[in-house]
Amino acid sequence: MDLPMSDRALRLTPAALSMLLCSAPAIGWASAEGAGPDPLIFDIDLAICTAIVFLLTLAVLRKFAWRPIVTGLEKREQAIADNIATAENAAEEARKLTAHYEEKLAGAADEVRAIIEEARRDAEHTGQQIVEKAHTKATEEGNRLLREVELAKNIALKEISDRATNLAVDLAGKIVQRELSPNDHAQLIQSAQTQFTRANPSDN
Amino acid sequence: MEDPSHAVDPFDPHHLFGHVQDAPHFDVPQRLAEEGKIKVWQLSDAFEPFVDLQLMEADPNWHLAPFDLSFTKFMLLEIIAALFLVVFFIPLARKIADGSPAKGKWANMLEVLLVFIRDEVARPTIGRHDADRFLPFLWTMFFFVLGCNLLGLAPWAGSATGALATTFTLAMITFGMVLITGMARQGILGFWKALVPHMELPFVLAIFLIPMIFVLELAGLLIKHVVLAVRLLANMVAGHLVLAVLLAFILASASHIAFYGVAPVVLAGATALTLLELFVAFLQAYIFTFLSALFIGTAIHPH
Repeated sequence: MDLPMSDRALRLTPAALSMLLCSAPAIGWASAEGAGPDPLIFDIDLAICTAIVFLLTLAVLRKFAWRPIVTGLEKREQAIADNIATAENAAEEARKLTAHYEEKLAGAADEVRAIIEEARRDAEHTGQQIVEKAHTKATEEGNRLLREVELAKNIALKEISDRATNLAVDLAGKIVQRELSPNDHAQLIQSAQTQFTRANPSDN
Repeated sequence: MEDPSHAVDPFDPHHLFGHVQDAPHFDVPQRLAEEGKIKVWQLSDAFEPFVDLQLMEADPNWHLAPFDLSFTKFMLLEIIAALFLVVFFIPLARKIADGSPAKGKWANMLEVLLVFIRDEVARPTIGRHDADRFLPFLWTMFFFVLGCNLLGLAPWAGSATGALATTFTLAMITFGMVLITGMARQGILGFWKALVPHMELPFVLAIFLIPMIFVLELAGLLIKHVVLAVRLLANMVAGHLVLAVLLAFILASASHIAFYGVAPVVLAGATALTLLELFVAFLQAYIFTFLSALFIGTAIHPH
């Protein structure tokens, strides 16, 4: 049973009724013998007045006070519940946004680090490349110069050898063409020498 | 202090009860009015009592006062209590009807009481779903009873709830509420049938037992509403009577040297008891309303 107490009270009420009924004459006697006041006196006028006043109050307040108060309280409860729901939603939204931006921020830091790293790598790489290029170029230039010097030297040597050969041939021809007196001989040698000297004035 | 020669026996029950019971006049100090009584304005002196006074005096078991259209102290106090309700709650309703919160100590205090009755009395006893329909009744009942109780603490006034006619009428209004809501919810026959708890009985036994149980339960239903009236009446009468008796000690010792010992003690005691009465005024209004709500709840949900 839902309400054992009130049920028990209900069972006990017949006993209470009989007690009340038995005690009623006693109260009556008391008022009869001692002519004392009656605390259970029932004034019908007051009862009617009570009923009218109470029901009238109920009707007036029901229309002008209780109904507006009930709706007002309900409205306020609803508004508070709505506000709480809105606030909770906003808080949830804010939490999400914060997490999102924190994630983004952490990502940005990583990105910056990667960019710097890459830039450094690029710079190092470029520097190395420049040095390498310069080195290669310098080597190439050096080699080219060496080659040119070699070439010039070879050309000069060839020229020398050619001219010497020509001289020798000329000299030999001249010797062969003439019978040479000792005088002539000396003269020949001298002219050859002059010629040689003239041909190579400074190249000794 | 009253003139001892003028005063009656201070412990005379008539005198003591005179301060507690209804009367066509207010008891005030003798300096304020002739014989210490301010008469309540009457509708008509010419109206013949409906019930024969002599018959009633001849039959002392008869607790009825005559129906004579007399306008009494308690009627006036009931009207004052009702006016207080109107003056307090209609402005409050205006303020909070649009859902805005109550502002100010007074409005908040009234609202706390209203919400207490709703959340701690109506909803647990009647159920969340149905409770709000009975709130106007329960709120009016609580504040009307409370107003009548508290007016008893005002000097020279009295508690209208200290008369059986008042409490019995209020209890019968609750009873009517129980009958109407119970029959509206369960059907006219269903309500009376639900009074008898369902039992697995052999047919022969049921023929005897069920009508008996029905009569007992019917008596129980009536008695618990009558007890509702008697409880409130007894509490208010007893409280005021104790105060009257206590203060009568001052009167009794007025021409004696003991007065200087008795008076301060009695005064302190009476002050403490008045504070207790203040508590009882709220407690009894609460109990009356709580039991009304409980009876309505039982009528709506019989099991």
